[in-house]
Amino acid sequence: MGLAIDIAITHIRSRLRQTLVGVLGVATGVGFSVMMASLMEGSQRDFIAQLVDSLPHITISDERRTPPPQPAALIYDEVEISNLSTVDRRRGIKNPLAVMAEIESWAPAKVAPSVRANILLRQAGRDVGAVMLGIDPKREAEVSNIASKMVEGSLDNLVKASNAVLLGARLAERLGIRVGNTVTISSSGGKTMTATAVGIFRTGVAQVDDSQIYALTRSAQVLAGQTGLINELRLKANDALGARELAARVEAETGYKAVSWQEAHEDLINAFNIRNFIMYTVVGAILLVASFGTYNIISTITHEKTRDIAIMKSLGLRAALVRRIFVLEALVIGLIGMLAGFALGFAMTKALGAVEFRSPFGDATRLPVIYSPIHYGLAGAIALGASLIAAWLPARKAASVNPVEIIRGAS
Amino acid sequence: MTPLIETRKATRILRGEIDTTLVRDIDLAINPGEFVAITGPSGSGKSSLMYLLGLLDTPTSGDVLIQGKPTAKMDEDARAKLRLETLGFVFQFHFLLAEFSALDNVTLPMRALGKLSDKAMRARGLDLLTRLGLKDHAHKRPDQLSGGQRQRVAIARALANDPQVILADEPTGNLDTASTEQVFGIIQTLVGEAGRSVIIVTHDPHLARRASRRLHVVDGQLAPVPEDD
Repeated sequence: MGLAIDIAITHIRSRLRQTLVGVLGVATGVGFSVMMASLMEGSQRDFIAQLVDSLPHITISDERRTPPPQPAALIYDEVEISNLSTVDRRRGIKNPLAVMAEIESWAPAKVAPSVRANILLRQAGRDVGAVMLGIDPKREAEVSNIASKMVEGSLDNLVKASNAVLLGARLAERLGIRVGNTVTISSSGGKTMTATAVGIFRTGVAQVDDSQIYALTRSAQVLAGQTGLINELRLKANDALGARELAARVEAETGYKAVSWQEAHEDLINAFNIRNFIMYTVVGAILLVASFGTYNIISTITHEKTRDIAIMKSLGLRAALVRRIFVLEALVIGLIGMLAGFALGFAMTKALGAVEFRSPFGDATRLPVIYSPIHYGLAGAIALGASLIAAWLPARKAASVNPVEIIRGAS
Repeated sequence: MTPLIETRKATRILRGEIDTTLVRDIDLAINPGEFVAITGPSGSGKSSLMYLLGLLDTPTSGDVLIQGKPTAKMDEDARAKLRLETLGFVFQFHFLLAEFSALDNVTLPMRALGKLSDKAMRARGLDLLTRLGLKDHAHKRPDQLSGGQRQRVAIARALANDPQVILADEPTGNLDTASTEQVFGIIQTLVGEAGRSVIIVTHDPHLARRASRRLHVVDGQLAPVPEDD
């Protein structure tokens, strides 16, 4: 092995400039791969974190996956029934406190009750549909970070005025509502109430900022026309990524529909998967192109050293040893390139992370980047693997040189 | 006594659009301690015969036996190992590795064989170079040496693993008269050491006459040595 290393190093030394170009190729490939991966995954995690933070991990509603059959259908099993007036069921989660206590007894999560009601917001002659969430401010703090998203007023203001509401920033902008203004709210059931805006929040999730208002549970119950109604339980799990499994279990145990944030944003998760697929394809292509450089160098060296290979083989060096020499050369190039690429990638990620830019709607933010050993490991492994494959063909060709042909040609 | 090298109807045909017969039906035996010169006109097949004897080439038919072992059916690695252990080569061109010092060139076959420690290899390499009068040139690279010196390094390399047979293909073909005399003299002294044989391919009748036996090759076959040589 020592002999192969010595010869490999000698060859690389004799081709220093070309080797440098090869190393640079691998380094650029690895560097950009690492940077891209850290930016892509960073932004993805940042986005998900925003989403997950501002939305409950699991929403339990008073619906069922399949609507319960009507009594008539239960009695007359095989008969087609039409024009039947349906039985109205009382809405809401039955005995919500017991359900909450049961969930909290086994699930690693915090639960908060709320009332969700579709409402119409009226201000200065304009009507806008919105969703009212009736909450208990004390428990709300445990399942959402809305308190930290307030741009004006605070969550506690809800209890300081009667019929107080918090509005999403975009909704408030659309209607021209400022803190202290009075708005008229009417429910789908025809109830109307006058409320005071006591705060404005901005979560960064457009859907929420655009159409959500918060009120006390009591106010929402009045609008829904049902005292004591709780039609939604929201969960914040200790492990956000395990929400899907947790939701399935909650649903199985309580019978109520439990939707995890993953399910609620299935399309988004799919989009991320596609994005990751594209990213890894591009990263793979970059590293593949870099390995062409390695192939080129090893190919050139084997051509140049044909005579040396013939000499070594005539002396009795085995073909495997000759092959090893060139594979080692590629490995050295790949390894140095990989390490240089790590440094380059780290530096570029660092530089990107320092870039500050201003969104027209929000505060100044930095590009979200993450530093993950997996990115480095993956890029390094692909680069080394590609170098090995790139070296294999020329190395095999070199090892199969017939010394007699070269010696005969020389004399 | 088992001959060091023996051929049995060794024939080598180069396949191509027109088949070329390099050597045909060669039967010969080379015994320990012999100094054999292979002569013949250029293109007669004397080098091709040497490549067969040195296991650098495989006979198309027939066989070459090294110390009684048939080699025609051996795989390439086994033949490489046999070359490394029992045969030493000197070619017309020195064929040294340009980026390695004289000493590193000499120790190369020892390292490939891997039987000695690094220190022992170095010591033996220096010994060989000293013996060939190159003590002060051990750390020079081939391009810093004269033609005669390079050929002496090549001889030292051929001796690295203490082979039973030295095969030399026109070893003095590129040297001036003085260097030729020196290199040939050295080769002569190697004959008989521990039963070692030397096979030399040459077109120079004067040198050939100094061998203990002559094999004359004409058109790929053994022929009687011409009288006027």
